[in-house]
Amino acid sequence: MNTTNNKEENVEWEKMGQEEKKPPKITELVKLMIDSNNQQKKILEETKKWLQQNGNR
Amino acid sequence: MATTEWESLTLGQNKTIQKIATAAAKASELLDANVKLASGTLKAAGIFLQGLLGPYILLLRTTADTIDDFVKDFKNIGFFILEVCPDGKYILPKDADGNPIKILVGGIEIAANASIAAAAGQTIEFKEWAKEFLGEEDIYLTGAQKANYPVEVGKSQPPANRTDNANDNKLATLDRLTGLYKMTPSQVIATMIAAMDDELDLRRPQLSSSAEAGALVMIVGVSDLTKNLANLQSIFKAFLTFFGGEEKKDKSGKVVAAGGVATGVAKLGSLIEAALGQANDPSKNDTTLTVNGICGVRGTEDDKIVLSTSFQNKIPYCFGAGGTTPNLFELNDFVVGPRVKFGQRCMGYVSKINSTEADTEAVAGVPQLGIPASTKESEIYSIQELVIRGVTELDAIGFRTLSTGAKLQKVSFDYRATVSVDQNSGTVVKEGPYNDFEYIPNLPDQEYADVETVSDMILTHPIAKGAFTKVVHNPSADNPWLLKKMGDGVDIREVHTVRIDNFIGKHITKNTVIGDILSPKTPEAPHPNFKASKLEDLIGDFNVFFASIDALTDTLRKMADDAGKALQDIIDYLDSKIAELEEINAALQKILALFSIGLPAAGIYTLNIPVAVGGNDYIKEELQGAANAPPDSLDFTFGFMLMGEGKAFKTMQDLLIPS
Repeated sequence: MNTTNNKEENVEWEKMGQEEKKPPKITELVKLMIDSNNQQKKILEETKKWLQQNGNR
Repeated sequence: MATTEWESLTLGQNKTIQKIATAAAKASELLDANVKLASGTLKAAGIFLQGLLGPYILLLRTTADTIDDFVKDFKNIGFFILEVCPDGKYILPKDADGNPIKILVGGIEIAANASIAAAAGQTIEFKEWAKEFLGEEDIYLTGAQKANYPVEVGKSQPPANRTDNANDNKLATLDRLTGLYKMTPSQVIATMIAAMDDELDLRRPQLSSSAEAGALVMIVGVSDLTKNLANLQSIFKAFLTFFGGEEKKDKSGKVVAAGGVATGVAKLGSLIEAALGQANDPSKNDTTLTVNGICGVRGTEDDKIVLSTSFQNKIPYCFGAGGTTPNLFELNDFVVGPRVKFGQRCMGYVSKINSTEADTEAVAGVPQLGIPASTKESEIYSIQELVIRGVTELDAIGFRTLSTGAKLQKVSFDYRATVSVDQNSGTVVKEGPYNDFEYIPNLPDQEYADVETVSDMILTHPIAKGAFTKVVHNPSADNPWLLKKMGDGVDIREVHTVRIDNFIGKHITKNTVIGDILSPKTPEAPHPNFKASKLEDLIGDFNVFFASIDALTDTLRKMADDAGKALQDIIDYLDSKIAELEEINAALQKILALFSIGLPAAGIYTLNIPVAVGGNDYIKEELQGAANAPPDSLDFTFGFMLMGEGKAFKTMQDLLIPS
């Protein structure tokens, strides 16, 4: 092993989803993206509804 | 230069990240524009609609701002990226001095593998492997004497089990059922280490030992392709949604994942999709062949001599109708065709018979009597147009491209399986059962079934009185790549009365059917072909631009024509946008699953090498020696490595690694 680096412990492979660890930050970002998409969807659905009720008046 | 190549980029270059940063704002702007357009043209109360949507738009902008804050921290981080996705081009990994790459295997792991090998009946093989690769004279006597052993990484199968590329420098192994190339985790890791020393790759990271460096390595692997290929495909899709780029369409209109930074993963995903496609719809492997000179054949060349010289009434070696065994190819007959590589013939079966008629034979003329040479219908030989279904895509390619002039021969289907000691780690690896064939004259003439036990698998091999001549694909089976034999076996023997040296006795031939392939029917025109191309095909990013203009002008044109129709157009447009968002969300859910639960149906292993001083050498050493490496029983794996310099890379690790 390298003796010049400043890391504290030996690295080990881990199997994802099997350790009791907090999911990586990327999951927060993906959740935000899903939220954003759902909000966009809501706007589109409301617009559609409004156009169907009022569009030809 | 090895087939792996480094790419250098920033996270901000990633299409998905770009979309994250701009999608929300763009969508709301586009929506505003559309709503204004719609309300103006339709003389509707646009202000009222905007008031109705106001709270939603406000909420959307707040979310977009949060995303922007999140993304701005890391979108400009620079890093190097390397993919190792199994194909036939990888060579045995070497370091800068040309020596094989070594991976550390722990003594505890060796001891466990020794026990597993003994239980699987591989004691001798494991002992030989330990002597050659670990330097342990008698591993079962002394046990593993060291805490760690550096093991040279090369081909995974022992020499005796290699059926192709046995002695060359190719690293990957061809899977005998699916036709996909596969690599073990050791091979993927060693290839990554070698890629860091590849001097011909000018884009590789070249960090000195005083530089700070960190890396993140992901390995995705499955142990049984036939059971896990569909799971693997979903992981590929999640990977591509995050790391990949825009989808493109090829000239035939088929969607091709462009891959973005993950081009290797995209290609591998396409191959897996093709393999799954064959399993679900085997007719994709069909090729139509015209085969002439078809006849029944009595046994081998030795039989031919006996038949022609030793019988009282000579019996023809090649025969037409009227024999005790068939003289034509029949539906579902298992056949072999041209050789795709040394020692290996394409396998397939007859899925359809388009036509059968008598072949023609030349009749010599008699010039003295003024009778010219002519032809007549053969009483022995026939000509058939057959649809042959390749067992795998590779077989189908062989039938399509190498058939002309080759022999088509009826053979017996056979199941095979192997158990071996992985040469890079000592792991016991089982393969099978998989599809194979045996030439009919080679079938043993015995009374009882030929049963073989390979580890926990019991295989029944064909015999002369029970040849497995007919097969079919079974897409609904647990293992759709494994052919299903039809019937209990056919007796392909024919008994002849012989007279040899004035003694009368019996002679048995094992009969088959053989023909000459005239040519495959190919729908494609010969090369070169003209290509139909548009400016937007050449400049990929312009696709979106042109599409937007088309959509806008179409909408405007239609609105001018008919206000009622325009309303429906806008509603259709909104429906399409809603569907698009639902599709994106489905993909995002997969990414979420990939990073939060790891999709446990397949193994996703990560190695986080923290940022520390040491440069390239530090990363190589950690890769070589990291504990708890994914086991080499995962025989189909691909790897993905991100490597960066300095503290900035730590932000990337924080983003992608569980804490």
